[in-house]
Amino acid sequence: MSSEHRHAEELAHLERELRASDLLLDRRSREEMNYEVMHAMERISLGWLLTAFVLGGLVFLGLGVAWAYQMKWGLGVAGINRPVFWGVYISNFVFWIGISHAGTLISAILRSVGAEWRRPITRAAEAMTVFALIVAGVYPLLHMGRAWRFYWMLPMPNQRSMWPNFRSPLMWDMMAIITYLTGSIIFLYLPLIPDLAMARDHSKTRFRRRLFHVLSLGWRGTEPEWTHLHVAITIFTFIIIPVAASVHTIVSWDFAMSNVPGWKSTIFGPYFVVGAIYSGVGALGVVLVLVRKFMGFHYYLRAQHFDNLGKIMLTMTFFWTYFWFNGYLTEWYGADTALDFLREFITYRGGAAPLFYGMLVTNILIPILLLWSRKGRTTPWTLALAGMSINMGMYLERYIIVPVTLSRNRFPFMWGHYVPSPVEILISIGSLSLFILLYVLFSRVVPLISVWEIQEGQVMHVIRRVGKTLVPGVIHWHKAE
Amino acid sequence: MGTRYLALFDDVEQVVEALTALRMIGIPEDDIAVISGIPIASAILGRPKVANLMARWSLPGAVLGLGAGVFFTFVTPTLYPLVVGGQPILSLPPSIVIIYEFTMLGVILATLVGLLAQAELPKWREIAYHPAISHGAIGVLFRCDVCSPGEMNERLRHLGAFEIVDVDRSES
Repeated sequence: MSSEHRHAEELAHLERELRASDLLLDRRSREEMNYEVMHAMERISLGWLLTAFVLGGLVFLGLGVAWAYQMKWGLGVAGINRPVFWGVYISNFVFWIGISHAGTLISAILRSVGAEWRRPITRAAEAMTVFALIVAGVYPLLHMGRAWRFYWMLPMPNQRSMWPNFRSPLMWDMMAIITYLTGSIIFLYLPLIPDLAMARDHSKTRFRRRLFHVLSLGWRGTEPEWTHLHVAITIFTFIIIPVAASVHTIVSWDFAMSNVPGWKSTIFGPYFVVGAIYSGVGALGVVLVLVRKFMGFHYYLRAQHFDNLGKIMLTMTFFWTYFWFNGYLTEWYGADTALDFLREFITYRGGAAPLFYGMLVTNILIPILLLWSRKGRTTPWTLALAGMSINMGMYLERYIIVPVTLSRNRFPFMWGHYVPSPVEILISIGSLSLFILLYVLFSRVVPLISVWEIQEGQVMHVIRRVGKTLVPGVIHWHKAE
Repeated sequence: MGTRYLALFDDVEQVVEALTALRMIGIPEDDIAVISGIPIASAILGRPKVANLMARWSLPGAVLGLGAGVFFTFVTPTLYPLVVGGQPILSLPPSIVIIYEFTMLGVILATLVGLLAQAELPKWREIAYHPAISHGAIGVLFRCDVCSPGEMNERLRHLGAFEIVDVDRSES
């Protein structure tokens, strides 16, 4: 075999390796990708129906039966009592708001820095944001007890011409969530329009064609349509990041604006934002592994995506640890008696110690052990395990911050003990099921993979021969002047 | 009113050649539109750049949102003054949060409205389109007063068009 022939073979091998390593270099026809995504979307299997049915049942049990029971008998059926007036409803609320930060981080931040690998995962992340916010929005209603009075929080006067108190952190919460939910829904919808048009063109049933015809707004892909869509997505990218940061900062202010020991902390704002992003990325890892497995998106979701997501998770592990330790150490050094009691209860003498150490193990130790090596990051189930561990840890953290902290205060005669009631547990299960159910339904209604963005990326990414070897490169089409 | 044709191509280079040919037979730029499944920069096609006026929508949205925020935080408390815990009725620091959120909400809503207005969406009745475009084809839509269908067909096919649709005929 001549050396030239051998070199050509080496180059062919290298090209195959490059294509396998990067989705955007591994070009497929748009028709083929459309078919795959549409097929996954339109396939209603028995397993899917069964999953949806079970989840629907759990939602009915939790958010239907248990909530109705609470409405009939009042908040007394929940485990909250003096001094713990904020229980799992508020822990869950903070937890779900945190999950909603996945869309912002993965989609908006990666879009803003031009991270090309984000293309197949943005939609799954943006959908997570919307569904997590919907679930989070249920909790203030649950916590109010008389949920039908929620309109008292809307920015309008009541029958006595009194307006809500806009200086209250609870009103800030309301407005922040409304703004974030509105922005997130539109941020999900805008890049979806071209794919809805694709679904309109290639759906099998008349009902779906009509549905997508309406949802795609008659999109055709003309030059003005693309130009303005691109600009709108860019504006949203830069708007949604500060809005997301404000939402979780404001959630932290619900606590930090009070005088409760353990809550009054200036670091709570950024600590909550970092925690939110951390749990959001963890949840996204789990969702992507499941989407890949159950929708057969092995071509779109590859080792490169899990590797990058794992790196973000690992980075966030260190960020979260830094912020947590910062808050912990300053409180410990301050030697406030009330905080000493609280710390004693949480860390060694009290019943909350398993929660505290569980939080540290699941939030720091397990993610680092699972994600430090490339093999760990690129193995889907390892990544999913790390994501689950992170979310378990973040839930424990929220639980410690809310009911556990409230159970110890400046007055030992007013200390209490909180255990979630069966109603609260059922409602929590119902809300988790609602999140999964919304995702399961969504996966069969709209394309979960942004096909046009992948095709755009594949057109821009090329393999070029430079000297004796092949080098991947990018041609920035959209920057052509 | 001339006849509208939609020619479908596989490749952007073919589209550029077809656009040049259309210009040479005297079809004005305004009567030509390129429809594609992914965004293609105007410079690649040699087409005039689409004016981007989105900021004209987003900025007034921000101003309106800011105005709403100021109204809720500085005007509504004075409509029914209620002193709580001896605190002032009007105060800037807690108002900043609400003003910020309303400003952002204003930008968000105005940007959406701006997109719909600028891109002229929704346009549910428009039929100058072909499903092959979302499969990756690139369509060149043009209006021609003087073209003979046969000649046009032959010329565009020679340039690589794999299908040419007489839009107005298919509409009727």
